Amino acid sequence: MQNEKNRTRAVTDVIIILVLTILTGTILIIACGANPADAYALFFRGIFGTKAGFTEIFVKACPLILTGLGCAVVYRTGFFNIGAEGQFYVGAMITTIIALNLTAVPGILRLILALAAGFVAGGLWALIAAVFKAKFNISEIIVTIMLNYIAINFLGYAVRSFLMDPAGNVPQSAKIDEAAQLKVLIPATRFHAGILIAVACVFVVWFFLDKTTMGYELRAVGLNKRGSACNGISVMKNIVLSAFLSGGLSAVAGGIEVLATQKKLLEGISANCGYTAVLIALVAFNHPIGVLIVAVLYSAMQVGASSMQRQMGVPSSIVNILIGVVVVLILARELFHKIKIRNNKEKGGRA
Amino acid sequence: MLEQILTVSFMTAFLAAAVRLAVPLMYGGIGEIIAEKSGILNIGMEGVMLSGAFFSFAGAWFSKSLMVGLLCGILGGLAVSLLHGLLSITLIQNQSVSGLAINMLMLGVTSFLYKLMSNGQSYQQLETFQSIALPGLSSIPLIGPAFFNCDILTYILYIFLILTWLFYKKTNLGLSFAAVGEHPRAAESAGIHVNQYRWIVMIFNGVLGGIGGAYLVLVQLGVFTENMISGRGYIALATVILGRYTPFGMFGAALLFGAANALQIRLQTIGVSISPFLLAILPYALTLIAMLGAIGKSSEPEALSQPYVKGSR
Amino acid sequence: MPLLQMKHICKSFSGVYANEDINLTVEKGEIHALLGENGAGKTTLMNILFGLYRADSGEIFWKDQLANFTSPKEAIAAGVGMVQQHFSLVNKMTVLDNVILNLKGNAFVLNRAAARARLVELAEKYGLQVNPDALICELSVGEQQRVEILKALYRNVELLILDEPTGVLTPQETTQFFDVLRNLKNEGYGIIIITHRMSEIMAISDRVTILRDGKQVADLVTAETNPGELSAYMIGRELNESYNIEETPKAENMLVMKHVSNDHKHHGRHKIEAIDLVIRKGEILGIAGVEGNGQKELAEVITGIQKKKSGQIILDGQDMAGKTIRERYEAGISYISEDRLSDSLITGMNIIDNLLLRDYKKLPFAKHSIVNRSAMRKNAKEKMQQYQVRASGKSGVDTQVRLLSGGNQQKLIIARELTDSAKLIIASQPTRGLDIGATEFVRQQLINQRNAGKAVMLISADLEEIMALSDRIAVLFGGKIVGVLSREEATVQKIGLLMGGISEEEEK
Repeated sequence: MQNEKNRTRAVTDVIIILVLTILTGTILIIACGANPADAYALFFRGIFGTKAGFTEIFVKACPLILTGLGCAVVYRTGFFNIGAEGQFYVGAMITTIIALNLTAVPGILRLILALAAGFVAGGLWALIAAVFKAKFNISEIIVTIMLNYIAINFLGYAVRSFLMDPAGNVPQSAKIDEAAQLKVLIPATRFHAGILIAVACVFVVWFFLDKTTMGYELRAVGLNKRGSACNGISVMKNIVLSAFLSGGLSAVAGGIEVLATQKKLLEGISANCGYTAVLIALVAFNHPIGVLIVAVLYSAMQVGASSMQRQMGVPSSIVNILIGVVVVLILARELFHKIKIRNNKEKGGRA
Repeated sequence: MLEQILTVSFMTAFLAAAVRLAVPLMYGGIGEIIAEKSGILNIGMEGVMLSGAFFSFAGAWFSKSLMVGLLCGILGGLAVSLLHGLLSITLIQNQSVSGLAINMLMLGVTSFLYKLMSNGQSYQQLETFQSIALPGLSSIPLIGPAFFNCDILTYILYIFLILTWLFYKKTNLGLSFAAVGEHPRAAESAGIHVNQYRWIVMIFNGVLGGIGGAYLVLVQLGVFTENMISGRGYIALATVILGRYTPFGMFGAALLFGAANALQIRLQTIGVSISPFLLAILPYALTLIAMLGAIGKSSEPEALSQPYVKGSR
Repeated sequence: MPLLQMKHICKSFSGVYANEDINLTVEKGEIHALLGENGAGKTTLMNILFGLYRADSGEIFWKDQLANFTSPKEAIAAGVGMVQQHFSLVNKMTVLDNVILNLKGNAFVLNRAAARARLVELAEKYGLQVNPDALICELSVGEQQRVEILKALYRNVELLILDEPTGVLTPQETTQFFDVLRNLKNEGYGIIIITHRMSEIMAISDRVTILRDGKQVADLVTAETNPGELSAYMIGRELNESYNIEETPKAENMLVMKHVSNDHKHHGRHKIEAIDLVIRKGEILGIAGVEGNGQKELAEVITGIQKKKSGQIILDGQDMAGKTIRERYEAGISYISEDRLSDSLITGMNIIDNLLLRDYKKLPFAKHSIVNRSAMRKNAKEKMQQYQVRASGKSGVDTQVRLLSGGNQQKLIIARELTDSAKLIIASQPTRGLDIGATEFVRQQLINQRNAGKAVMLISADLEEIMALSDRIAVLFGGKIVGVLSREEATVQKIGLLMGGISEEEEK
């Protein structure tokens, strides 16, 4: 009974949130002085109109999927890591260093090595916050944010000093040689092999969380730390493990951006995806497949919105507003039911 | 290099810059102290300040009045804090999630509105608030020009810091507001309406955070740019922890951040070749180390970020 | 004129009477004890008086005026103060600040000097010494209690309600505390003291009202009664259920505890000290005692959740020293915790997952760390059937445990913990909050384990349950075993006295 009630409730929630979000989008478009019908037409043409546009969705989604997965893994244990941004940069830096310097190693092996090293480095970077939390009980939120700024500023230093392209004087690294790049898979687009890695990671993480005893432990710890401990599951071990995985996944996102999309390290390479990832994980209720879907939808909205921006001058920041609105509505969903109950009561009173 | 640094003129300019850069952090910080002391953690301070910055710019631009701009900034900040209040107090949602969502939302909203408003053109700088030299005090060497040759908002901040300190130290209400954040059940049993008090602190949180954002526009820069708070809201949270939830502790911590920032700018202008980026790491690293140092004698309010439901334990 | 009269108070929660037609009168300068087992309705009655609950019917007269308080604020304003079992003190504030928090007479700017003077005067008058400038977190529990009393006195109350005030005190502190109560009594304060402890009632009270199952069973003058009579009233009826308890050999020891103490500074609220216990195979050992005397600590030290400070724990010849929680479980220690929802279950998970909290790493449920969902599901279906776990709705084994009734949650824990390899079952308050059917089921399961030659430690606040099921009964008081009785020699009266901290010699 109660299960079914919960389910119908969840369905009505989703419908209400969708309607309100689309409504908000439409109002924002009208506010720009654009005709919503034309705008939506452009929006969808941007997404489905060209091969380049459609594949661009996945190029944009790739880092979001990986950082979103990183957040989802760690939120399952109740550890609120907001450090995906910094972990992304650490991964990008280490991957660049390996890819540029280990030229003796043949291309594909160097590529794998570079990503793996990035994974480990990002994991260790996230571990700092886990140790602060597990050992000293210091809020992981502030620690991860501080670590983000440290990583971002260090990158700013790196691309101006030891990682700077010796051939130029722009703050960016030298170009990664082609052998170690992640190849474009569909000609005339930017659809690259890294996207396949990201999708593979979705299934690996899903398998890990859903099908292994480690995933079972993570879930148990996230839902009830005391109960887990009383049944012999180590809380500390699981927080540390999930933080490491989380940092690693975000770092791989950074590595792929370097090896596939930009082909070099530069400032602002994350495009804030580490922060967006937090929201993507929340909207996906920390489910890996959910992260995949939400990240792709979000990127599609971005692609569609940038086509609106180009041709009608509707700012693409609409997409940022909308994902914010979705999360706020998810948090506020109790309100729908309160209002509904009140309405029912009023109706009952009159009858 | 050292000779260049150890001159009075360098130190004076450096200190003055440090104070100027620290003031927005202090506004955000004091607003956050007031909220956190009563148990509400507002990670959304970044969004509050961003909203304050944008609306103060829009208000000042359209009305051609700095005062109207300031008022708009205050209202902009307030609206965001009240949204956080709705989600975290009334709807008892996770305060960290709510704050983060608000930051993303406000980043989108302000960028969108700014684009809408500017329509691609760039704006001229606004006239900003003028500095007022306090007679006597401002002629103290070093400190005078830094602390007592400031704009009106900085002086208001000083007064506010002192009042806040006195409020928690000396007054009946201050005691009650602190009890709400430490032990809401004990507060309720002493006849204090916990959630009502929490709504009141969110008003202060929004007003002060709004002024913090407005300060950047109306005093420092005279323009709005997208994402112009760029992490100051988060740093304000760190200054609160570092300053152990006291107004003057926070003041010192914010000054430290301001100084690190100012040092980096100053050193560049005199051509010293330490990477500004490495210098910029300093305050964050210091914060982490300082937090480690604070272990065991935590001053964090015990009920911080815990929603209060009447009648529960 | 009596200070307080409560007349014909009735209060029910979802159809069950917590208070049924209760009358209570307290005079000025009287210490009135309220005696009863857990769940007898004492705290409910006092919460009604203090304005936390509203009575369904009945009247309260305060100084002959009809006064049904609707909030603690009103009660305090009228002159009724209550010191709850869990203190309402702000840890990081000083004693003085806690006392004057949100006082009606406070000026906007606090006059701490005047307040301190008055506090010191009050403290000296009644012997409630405490440093007004100390932080609460620096004080001992006994000192904190003094602050709570001072808080009430500072607000000019005339009647003071104390809920289990001595539960947290050492014997020395209790003696001091009683001196304070006598001072207050001589000054004309009325005092209601809620307690289980017979010795204290005899020592301090003028009159005693006894509640059992929400009903008032006696109203006595303390000087005219004795502990034996009190415990007979408190526990009441003799036992009537009989269970299928077979003869078992009981030759070998299953659990031996030698001089075990816990590390109570780091874990747990209470202390257990120098526990020596033996449970034999085929035996149920009941642990009787008033709650908070170290029951949870005892269970957790054996299961490994809390560390022991000293002593030795031996299970079936195997020393448990240095073994983790899981290793102990695998050695045969099963645990049914009194805090089902927080300690034993993960309520956000479904039935399948909760049934495997102990065994998820073992075959056939997992191989090389990869779980076997169908084996897990099959296990859940079988266990649900075998232990009659019922989930409402269609989800069956996929139902989240938080949606199950208390009885079904408990059956789930039993289904998980009573494995074939279990040797010792520690069952803490196993039937609390369950309906009659579930209670019978749980008890029968424990007896079956015993009959099969395992050892059971039954920790329960329900004396009736202990006496019905146990082969031997140990009584825990103040963290120590104060007596062990065989089934034959155990009587309600003897156990009741031990639970109240009186050994047989003392009574004579």
